Amino acid sequence: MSGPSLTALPRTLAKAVLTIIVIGPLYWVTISAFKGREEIIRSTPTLVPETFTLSNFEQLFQATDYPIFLRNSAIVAVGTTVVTLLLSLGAAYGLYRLRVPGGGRIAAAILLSYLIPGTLLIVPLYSMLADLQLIDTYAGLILVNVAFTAPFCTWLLRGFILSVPRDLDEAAAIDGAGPLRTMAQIVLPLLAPGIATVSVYSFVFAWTEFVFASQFVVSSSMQTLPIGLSAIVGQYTVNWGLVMAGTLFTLLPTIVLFAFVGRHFVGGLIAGATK
Amino acid sequence: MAATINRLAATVSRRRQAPSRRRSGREALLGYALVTPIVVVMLLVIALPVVSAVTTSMQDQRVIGSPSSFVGFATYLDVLSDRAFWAALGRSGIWLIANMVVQAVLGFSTALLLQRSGWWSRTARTWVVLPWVVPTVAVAVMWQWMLNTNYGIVYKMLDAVGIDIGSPFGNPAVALGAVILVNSWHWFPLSAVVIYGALATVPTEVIEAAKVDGAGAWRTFTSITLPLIQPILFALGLVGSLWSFNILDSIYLITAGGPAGATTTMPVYVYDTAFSAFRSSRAAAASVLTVAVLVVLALVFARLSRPKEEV
Amino acid sequence: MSAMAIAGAFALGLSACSTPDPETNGPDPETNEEEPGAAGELVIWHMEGVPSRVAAFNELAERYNATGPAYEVVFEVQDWDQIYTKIAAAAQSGQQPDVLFVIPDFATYVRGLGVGQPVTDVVEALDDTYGLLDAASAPYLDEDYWAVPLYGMVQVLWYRADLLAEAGVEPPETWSDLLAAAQALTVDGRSGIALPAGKNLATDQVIFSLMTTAGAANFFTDDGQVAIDTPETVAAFELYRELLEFSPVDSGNYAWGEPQAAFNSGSAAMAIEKGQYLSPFVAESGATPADLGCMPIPVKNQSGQSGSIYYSNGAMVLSDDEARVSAAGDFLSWLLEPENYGDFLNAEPGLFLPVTSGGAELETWRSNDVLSTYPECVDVMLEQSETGTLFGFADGQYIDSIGQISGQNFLAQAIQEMYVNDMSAEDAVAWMQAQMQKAID
Repeated sequence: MSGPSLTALPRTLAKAVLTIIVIGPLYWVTISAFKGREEIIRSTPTLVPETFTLSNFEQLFQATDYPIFLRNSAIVAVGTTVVTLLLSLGAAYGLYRLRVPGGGRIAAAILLSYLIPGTLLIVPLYSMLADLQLIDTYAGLILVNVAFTAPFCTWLLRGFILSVPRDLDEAAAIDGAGPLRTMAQIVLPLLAPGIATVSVYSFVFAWTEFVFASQFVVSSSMQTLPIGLSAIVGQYTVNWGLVMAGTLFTLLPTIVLFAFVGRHFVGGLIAGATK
Repeated sequence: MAATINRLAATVSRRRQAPSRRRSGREALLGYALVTPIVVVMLLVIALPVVSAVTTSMQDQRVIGSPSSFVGFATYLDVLSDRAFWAALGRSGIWLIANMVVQAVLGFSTALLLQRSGWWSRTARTWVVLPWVVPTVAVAVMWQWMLNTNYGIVYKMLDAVGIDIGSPFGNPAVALGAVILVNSWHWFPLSAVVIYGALATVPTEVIEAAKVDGAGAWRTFTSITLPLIQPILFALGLVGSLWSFNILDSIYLITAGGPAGATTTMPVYVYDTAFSAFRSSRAAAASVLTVAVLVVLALVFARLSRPKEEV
Repeated sequence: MSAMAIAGAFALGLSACSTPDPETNGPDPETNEEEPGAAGELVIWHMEGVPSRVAAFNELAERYNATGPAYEVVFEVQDWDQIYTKIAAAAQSGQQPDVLFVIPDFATYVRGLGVGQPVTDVVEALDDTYGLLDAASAPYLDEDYWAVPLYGMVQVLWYRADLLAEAGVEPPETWSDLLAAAQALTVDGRSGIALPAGKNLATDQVIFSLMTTAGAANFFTDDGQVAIDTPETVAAFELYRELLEFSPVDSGNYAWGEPQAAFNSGSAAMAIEKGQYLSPFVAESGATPADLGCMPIPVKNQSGQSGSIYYSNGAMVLSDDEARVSAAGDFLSWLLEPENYGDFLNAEPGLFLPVTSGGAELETWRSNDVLSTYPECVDVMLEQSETGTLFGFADGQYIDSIGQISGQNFLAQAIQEMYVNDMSAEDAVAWMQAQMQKAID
């Protein structure tokens, strides 16, 4: 534990507030997904569904291509995470551990991507991707996502890398290990919290990314979950129950992911690194 | 006791200073090889389109891709004399600061609470990221729905205890604030996750040693923990602010920049200029100007809060 | 936590198992070509993303493909919010689809991108065979026809017959009736009318409907300059301002979904919208079909005329390959054939109206459950279509810069200036005139 211990009351209050503002809306979305069309828009909202129905979910799976969206989102998100990890770990190590000459300038330049408003990039990017035959492909989406996650992750990892003592590098060098081995066997394992953080960030970014995905995907078979959800919201009319069901099922995979992977992967690695 | 704290703090800062080493050629080669992939990706995806955008800003292009001619800086003058541009810039400033403050408070408190043992912290680690994972379109639909005066649960509950929140998104005085709150709800788990990861890098021995020496929780936090995680906080603060500045969808999906322009921040202004008014050169010029402002702000931020050590 | 995760995994497993039958849900992903219009394929982009519409369109595509045409049809769904940039980017890279569904102002934009083929022969042939409504084909006529009209949408006044009967109010026919009704129906916990006032197309559409009944539909001069600052327009805005007093407090952020939800839940007694109100009414309101009433848009008291906003939805052909253009024409004509047209229109029963003059009696269309439940309302909409029009295309004009105006929602913005900034109707309309003129300069 490295934070200040607040006395019990403010802590409990903080926990209560956080629980209400996060769980509250999500609970509402969840039960609404089980409500019938009439109950959902009633003037006096019901805290527990009266008309418990699965029709919204039926519609979600039969009338929309939800499983396809899920598959596409999963592939793009995992792909983005893996590629981001590789690129940012590499870049951060090279810039901040090996401290290549000119690294400072490269580091600053990498950050430049966040200065650019995404909207301006859409059309030039589309032509570039079209030239590379990457429109409507997983690779195209992953490429674009990585361009926006990798810089931040590189900078994030900078902090984590700096916290690993250099004496280890020196000890390894004395023992005869080359730079590659030092990196792989000594430093990387201690970067576990950094790796975990970067993975979570890139996964969520890719999972929820909408603007570029909707521009660079043309066929219905390549659409990701946010696109599918946006289509459900529709024009001229809104089927609220269906939207809630769709939202729920955009969340569900990540809940499952964090519940399993989070506890064992993140928690375990973080515990290991602080030994 | 003070001496011990200072000694510990000194150890910590010494740890962070790297002794100079003779760089081997092999190391440098490996370094460049490691950095190349990201540079290539950045060039492709960012640099080339940016060049295209800057070229466009020097023209008088209307619909994107349509024929246009070079006009030098005329478009820039056009934009600079537009009152709406400056109003949007001002609103973006408010947006930036307010979001940063709210998300910092929420993010830090969450991270600290997550660190504890106990069933709340254990379960919270799974669900506290959820607002971030909900796609922005769902966030927008959800909150507008919950705040609706006819059937919104939040509105009705507050009404039941006598609080009339009126129309948060339809009232120009509070619309920006309301969207900031929704946006912060959506994004605060990112700060929480990063800070949580940062806090995990602080070795327990150091904290234990400080406690043994009688340091209070607050002293330990400010002298030991904060300095150790400062590099990560710096990255989060800088990139987080830049990213926050450029947020478009949270605002557009809720108010589309209304009511009466009350939530038209710079990204909304640029988007509307480019894709609703079909003046892509003007939008490009506005973006270039904005980037210039951001670069200055970023430099100031870096100068003020950069952790003191060699890069 | 683990229990929840297991439950979640189980639910996901179920969802994966219930993969929709590929037969009814679109082309097999494996054979999907990346390039638009790969050999033997006609790629059609549309923005009707609502699942029932997607399914209906795909079902028709399958039916057509089963007839063994030279080019098989593939529908791809796009998003209205993205399509302006997407089609520009696609056109620039030569990747535009073969066919694109459009509305009139969007069509002028697409033509401005340099893509789009005249389809005069197809339209004239359809006109000869079925008789096309003027309101449907006129907006696409600019020396040649640039899109094939497929389905129309029109706005009418919807009201809760049960609530009106309770309050003893007659369905309004004029502006003063409307205002009086809205006032009488506004009681504690209920608004007389639910009007949108957000910065969006929904608001544009409703105010325009009211403007048409004042004779203010045509706001361009003969040489394409903006002339919207007229007493009729001001009168329409004044009416809207007064009506908003009887609309829920948060109308300043309403689009399409909120007024409909308020109407269906009984929180509002009236609304002005298109035919999407028919289909979900009974399910969402818990009331009976008889409780849904409809009237033509109330007309201005002095020198008012019947009118409403009318959207002609059509299909533009973007491919420049002769064989494909011809194939596209074949498919679009096939869609309008009586056996198919009813099913096409029923992709969203009540919202999609026929563009053919014989369509009103089309058995396959009117036999639909929703439509046969509300035959009078369908007739009201069909009749209103005859006096329906669209900004930029009123009175047979063709303003090709209209896209720059409709995209910025100036009508909605002016409404907002009135509603939230307390501008007077005269000032708001004057402001709007200046903005619109600046936009097309």
